[in-house]
Amino acid sequence: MSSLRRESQDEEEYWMKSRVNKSKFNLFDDNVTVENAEELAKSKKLLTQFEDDDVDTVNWDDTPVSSVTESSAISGHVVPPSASSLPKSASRPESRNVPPYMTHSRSQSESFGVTGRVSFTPSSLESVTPTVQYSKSQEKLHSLTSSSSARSLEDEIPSFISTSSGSKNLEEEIQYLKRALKKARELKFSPEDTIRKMILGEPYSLEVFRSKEEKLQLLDKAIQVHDGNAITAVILFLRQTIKPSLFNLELQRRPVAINHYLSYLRAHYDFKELGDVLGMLNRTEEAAILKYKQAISAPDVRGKMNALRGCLKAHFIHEPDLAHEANLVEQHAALLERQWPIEDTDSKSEAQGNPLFRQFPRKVSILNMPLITTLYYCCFYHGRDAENLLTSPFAIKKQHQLSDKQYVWTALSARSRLKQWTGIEELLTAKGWFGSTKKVSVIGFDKVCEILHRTSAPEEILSKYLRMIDGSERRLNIARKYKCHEVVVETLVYLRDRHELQVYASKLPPGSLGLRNAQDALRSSTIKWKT
Amino acid sequence: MGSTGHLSNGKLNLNLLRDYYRRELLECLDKCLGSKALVWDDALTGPFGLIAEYSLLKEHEVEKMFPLSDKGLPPSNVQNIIFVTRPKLHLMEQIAQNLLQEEHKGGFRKEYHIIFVPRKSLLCEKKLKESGVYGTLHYIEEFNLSMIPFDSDLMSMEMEGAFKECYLENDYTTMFYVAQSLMTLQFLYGIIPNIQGKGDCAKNVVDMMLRMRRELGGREPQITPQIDNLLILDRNVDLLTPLLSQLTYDGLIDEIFGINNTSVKLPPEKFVSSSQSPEDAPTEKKKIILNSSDELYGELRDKNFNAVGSLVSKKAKTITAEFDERHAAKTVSEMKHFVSKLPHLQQMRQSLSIHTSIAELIKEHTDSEEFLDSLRCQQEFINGLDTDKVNTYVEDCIGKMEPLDKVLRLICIQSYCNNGLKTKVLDYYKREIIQTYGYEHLVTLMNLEKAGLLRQSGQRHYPTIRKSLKLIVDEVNEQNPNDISYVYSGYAPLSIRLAQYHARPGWRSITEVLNLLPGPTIEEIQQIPVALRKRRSSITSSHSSVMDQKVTLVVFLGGVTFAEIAALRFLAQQDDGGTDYVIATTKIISGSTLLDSVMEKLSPVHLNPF
Repeated sequence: MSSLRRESQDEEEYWMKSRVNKSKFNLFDDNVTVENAEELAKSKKLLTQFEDDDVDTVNWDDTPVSSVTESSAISGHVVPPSASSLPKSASRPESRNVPPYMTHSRSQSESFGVTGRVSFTPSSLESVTPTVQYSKSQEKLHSLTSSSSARSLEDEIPSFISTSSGSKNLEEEIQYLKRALKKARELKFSPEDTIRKMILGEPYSLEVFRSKEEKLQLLDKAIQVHDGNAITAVILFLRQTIKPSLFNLELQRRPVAINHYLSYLRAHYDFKELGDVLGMLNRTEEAAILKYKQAISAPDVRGKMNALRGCLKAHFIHEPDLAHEANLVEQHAALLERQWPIEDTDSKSEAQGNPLFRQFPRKVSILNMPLITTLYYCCFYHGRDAENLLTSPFAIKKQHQLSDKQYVWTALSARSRLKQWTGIEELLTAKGWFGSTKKVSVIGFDKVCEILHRTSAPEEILSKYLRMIDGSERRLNIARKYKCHEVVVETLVYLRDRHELQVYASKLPPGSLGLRNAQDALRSSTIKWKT
Repeated sequence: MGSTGHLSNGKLNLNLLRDYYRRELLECLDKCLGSKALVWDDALTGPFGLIAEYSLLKEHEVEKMFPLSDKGLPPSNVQNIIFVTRPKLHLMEQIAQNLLQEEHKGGFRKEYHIIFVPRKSLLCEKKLKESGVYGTLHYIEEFNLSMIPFDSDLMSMEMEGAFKECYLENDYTTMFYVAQSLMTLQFLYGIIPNIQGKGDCAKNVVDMMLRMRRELGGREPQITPQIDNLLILDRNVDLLTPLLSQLTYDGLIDEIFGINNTSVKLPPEKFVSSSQSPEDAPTEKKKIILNSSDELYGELRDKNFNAVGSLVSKKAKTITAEFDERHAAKTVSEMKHFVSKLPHLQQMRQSLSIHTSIAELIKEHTDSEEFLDSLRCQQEFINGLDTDKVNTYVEDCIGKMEPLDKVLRLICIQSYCNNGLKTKVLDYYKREIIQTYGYEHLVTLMNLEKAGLLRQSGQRHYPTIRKSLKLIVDEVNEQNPNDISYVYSGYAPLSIRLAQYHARPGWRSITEVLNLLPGPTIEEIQQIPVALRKRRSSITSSHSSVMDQKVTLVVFLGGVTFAEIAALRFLAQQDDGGTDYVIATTKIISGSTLLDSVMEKLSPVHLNPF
């Protein structure tokens, strides 16, 4: 490597210039062992393939063709993208052994000549020579080497002459290919043909389409045949080869193309471009939702809060169509802002051994829970907190404009699980006229009973609320469902249905209160039974 | 899958299709010489199981099979590693990772291949190139498996994303696959002369089909058409039907337990005593294959569940009676006759016990209050009762935090039957759902709106459609049905009514209704050489009427429910129908799976953990 540094400046420049044709690997690298070189040399085919491969990536890559058009031009218009490349790829078993030499990086090829010169032995050179004709620069390298030190080498190698003729061949070949390409361009493949080839997986080239009109024709043709693969390929080609402003304009005229382009961007997580395109198309709603989705996928809560606020400001507030959604996003942010400090204090308090949390351990963090769950949590752990605190259920109800039903439903479940029976009574008591009170439930007493039953409230509490259900038939059914015998018996007595009562009493366990009541009622002479 | 006889029992021998796929698959495999290991994309194992069995693969030197995962490949000493995968980008990432890891490990030299099912895509190949593994791959093949034969009259592509991709993302790739597989079907069963369809996707498919035929340039098989009509229906022509609770036997199995690739996994408790194989661990779910090779299932599947109980008990009686014959058998020949029947009887008895257990499981569900209440609510909606205001039952469901998909299903039904909901009502529902199930579901709701499942009030079409297509039938005979409405106990699926009118008297009679439904109406005729045209029996009257029966292939783009399939089968059995139906679809769906595909998978629905 030290010899490389000693190399004079102009010589290096010469190296740079001499690389007319991009030579991809580098037989003269000191990594190349003799065996490898031999192997490479033996498989001429291999070389051509690598060149093919290179062309392949060039055309199929996102990157524009500009920098490497030279090489693609040389190989003609044939770009084997798919099916046609199969048989070829089958015949390169060695490819796995030589990955380092496939690299197309310029830096490596810059250094090769010098290092190569040092490690050369005649025998290896001999075996390599056949390949030399594939790269002009290597050929130059030889002339250079010979001039500086190894004069004798040149004489010893008879095939050297053939190499120079090889270079002539190469130039001829380039000329030929250039002509062929020109001819191919003049031939003008029609957009129809090209699209058909794309669909059938035959080799094709988009580069022959030069004018904007032709390219657009290509796109229209692809859209016409509904082939997603072809449409996407043409769109990407357009994106690389025409001005962005024109690209956007033409895309806007073709909704189908837009859809394909959008799903391409989505599949590549190119959210910036996706957002831009949606904005450009005036699809503000989609753009807003996209931003919202990104915002809520933020992993930590603090980041999420900020992202939500940001996206609210940028995408939701100014859209009259999204007024309702804006409100919801605002609420989402507000909820997180509430959950954050609650979680903070409660986890500390839990760690300090607060008896409430010891009695009912928290199963998960409250962060990212839905609003109703948060309300439940606050009803459960902070039911009595003053309204000016973040944890107050009332404050939550107020800020998020929850309906009375939602509130009662949630608070009732929480208090029932805590067995705060007086609390439940408070919840269901409404002030009537002149300080009198009465029991009201916005969700209906049948739902109240359902909640009580689910949280396994004691029978006396359940019975109390069962009795408040309007409609004796309904009451009877619900009481039967929850096996509240007392209420069933009472209701049957109220309905004066002696027969049913007898049937029911016969099923009751002996000694139970319900049975005693039933028997009393059956014996009673004051009840006028239905006949 | 033992026998495949059930595939060839229909008007169309679908075994032909299966054989075709098998040949194609083996051709793909045989390209690589030497021993092979297959690495499977999870979603493909089920469908492949229906066309090829492991022993067949073994004959072709497949020695190992692995699932595709991030963890890399387990060590093996095969010569070829073949990835069998759908063209999805995230799968390409996994494959690339696997390949890089393998390269890192070194060791025994292998060759790597990919088989894309059903088709390779430009983007996937690009992805592989970007990951730097494209050069490592030797063969990159396509195996065009898309329409998988499920039963003698049923094919599915098992692509659950089709609806979402078409209506939400405007990605019509699946439609290309549909067109391609219709071409395969035409290759095997002859060109289909008459094509009709409804909807944007249908138009798309028909365009592609006609184009593909032109590309063949007359190089098509010279077969007399075995399929007379092709009817293609978009799912969004009828978004109501799949949302309703199915009430047929297999419909209910699918709704409750989920049928995938014709098999269902059931809780094992019910089968412990009855199953003959004691080695089955009772903790593992019991897998049961459901197709018409099971005689009893073939009879039961399309029945309304209310008729299943009586049918099962009747069967049980006849079988017991037949078993009792052995006591009556006196002579040797009688005994011989009985013994010859024995295997069949035993099989019947076994399947009877299985279906009794399944029916019990279903009954537990259908007797539950939640199910009956939700059914009642649905019935109210489709009859157009109180659809314009907030429904208290739906409100209660949200209050009780019932599963989100159930709530959404009801709201979507209400929206459809009310021709969209008033802004106030819609906003109210949205708010309640988001507050209860999480703000993230804002995206889900937006998706539903975009897919047209949830709408703001628009023009009032539903009453007209309901009336002119007679969707609501009051007198339903669930035991011995006389109309397709039995599958939903009083509601005739809109999609199947369209098929019914298509057969007779023809769509021209319902042009007005068709114009109310979304998407264009398509009518095309494919010319076929005179020599290949089907001879009508007008020449010889000796042909039975069965020969006269036309075969119609009905293709549902975006999915079809079992109840709809049952309704079509019912039509095929009608004496005066004159049409036999073969059904093809992108996926067999139910309301839940349909909504699930549209829902945003942001985070699981948290049910109150506190």
